Amino acid sequence: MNDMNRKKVLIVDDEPNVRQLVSKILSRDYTVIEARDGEEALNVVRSQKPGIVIMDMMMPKMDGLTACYAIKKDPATKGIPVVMLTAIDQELNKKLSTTVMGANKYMTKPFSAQELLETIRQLLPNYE
Amino acid sequence: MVNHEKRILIVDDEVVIRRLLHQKLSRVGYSCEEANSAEQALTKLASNQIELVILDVNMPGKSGIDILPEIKSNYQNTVVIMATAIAETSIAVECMKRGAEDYLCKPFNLDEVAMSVEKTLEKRELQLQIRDYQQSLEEKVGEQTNEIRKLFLGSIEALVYALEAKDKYTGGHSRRVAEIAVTIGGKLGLAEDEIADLRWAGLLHDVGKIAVDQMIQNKQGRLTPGEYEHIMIHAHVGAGIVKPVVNDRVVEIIEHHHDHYNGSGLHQTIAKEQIPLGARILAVADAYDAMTSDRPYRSAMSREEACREIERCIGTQFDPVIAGAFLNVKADERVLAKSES
Repeated sequence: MNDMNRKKVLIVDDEPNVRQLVSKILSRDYTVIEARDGEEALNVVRSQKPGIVIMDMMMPKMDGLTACYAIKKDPATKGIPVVMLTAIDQELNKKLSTTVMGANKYMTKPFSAQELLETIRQLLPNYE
Repeated sequence: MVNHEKRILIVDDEVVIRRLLHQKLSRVGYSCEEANSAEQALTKLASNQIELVILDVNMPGKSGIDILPEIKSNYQNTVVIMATAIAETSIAVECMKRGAEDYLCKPFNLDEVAMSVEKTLEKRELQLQIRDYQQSLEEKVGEQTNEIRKLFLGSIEALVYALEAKDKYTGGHSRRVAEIAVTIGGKLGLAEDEIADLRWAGLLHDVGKIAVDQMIQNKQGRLTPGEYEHIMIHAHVGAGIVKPVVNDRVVEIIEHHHDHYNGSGLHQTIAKEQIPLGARILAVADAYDAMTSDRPYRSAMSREEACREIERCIGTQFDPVIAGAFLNVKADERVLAKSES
């Protein structure tokens, strides 16, 4: 596939090994960009407009919930799907991320490569 | 006989017919009143308790059909039998559609009249029983709804206190903010239900802090922009949490209680009068109470200092009318305090 046409996936996590793992899973089909915290993520989202954001909930500087809310409040970026990653499978967190903050999906770690690929396929907008 | 208590009003312009019906119905135990016109019928209905009306369709002046809707809407416990000539059965059917219980054709078979009256009164009894039953059911449901609502709001109140207990800096903050907001609302002459909204919104405005990182909330020293942005999600989270249990107005007040009047607040999409009135009131109340309480990064300001700060932010952060009303309340309080001491 031509690099220009590849869709961009932004992975946001403060743990380098999670970013590496996700990159490895996705790099065959997508262009993967990385960010280490919510603030970096917001900069990348605004400047590079990725097709989808995969973001950890708990991070230094700015957490995932806050960054997700900022993405969803900004008319320029609110259409970008956000998948929340978390190590804690908690109903409150799930509700907070999706119903309240507008995340499109909530995934608990550890997840399988298959699960991640399937989620992205479902949520990534089908633009030409 | 039970029928003794039932009063029947016979409305017909022909005296012979009234007498005939009167005689027959008295004989089977009803007490009867007569009216010779639609107008007289309405007068009699207004001054007597009437259970059943036999109403002639064709009368000079107002007809029976003319006053039927008035009778049905003003006297819901009164049933009506229309009396009409055979040729007019289509009119009688029309009357039934408009709420008459039965109709009789002239010339009358008097036994049939008595039968129809009895049946119609029975029907009335049943209708009344059903209505009573529905009413008491509605009352019961209403009571229980109130009870459930009270429990719901009580449990949210408990959540507020639990949240404040976790944070030594905000103890009592929500209750004080509710009080101040209600005072401002009173000064502005708001309606009772708007005041009630203010009280709930005041009490609940910070429940979203449950999603805020304690480390950041209790941080000594200035917040970074990212940390500030994180703390500010509490307005939206709070609105999301209370949405299932309070009305939409309260939800909107909580959602926007950190909006700046001039639109310069974080993620803000509306400004000035677009911001819900309650949110503009809560903004002043919240800021005042926060400034006059100790915070991890500073100690409490004096009331005068806090008032000056609010005055300084009129037109930018705060609505001029609301901040003005609040400052008037505070000025009055100072005068009162001086006169007492």
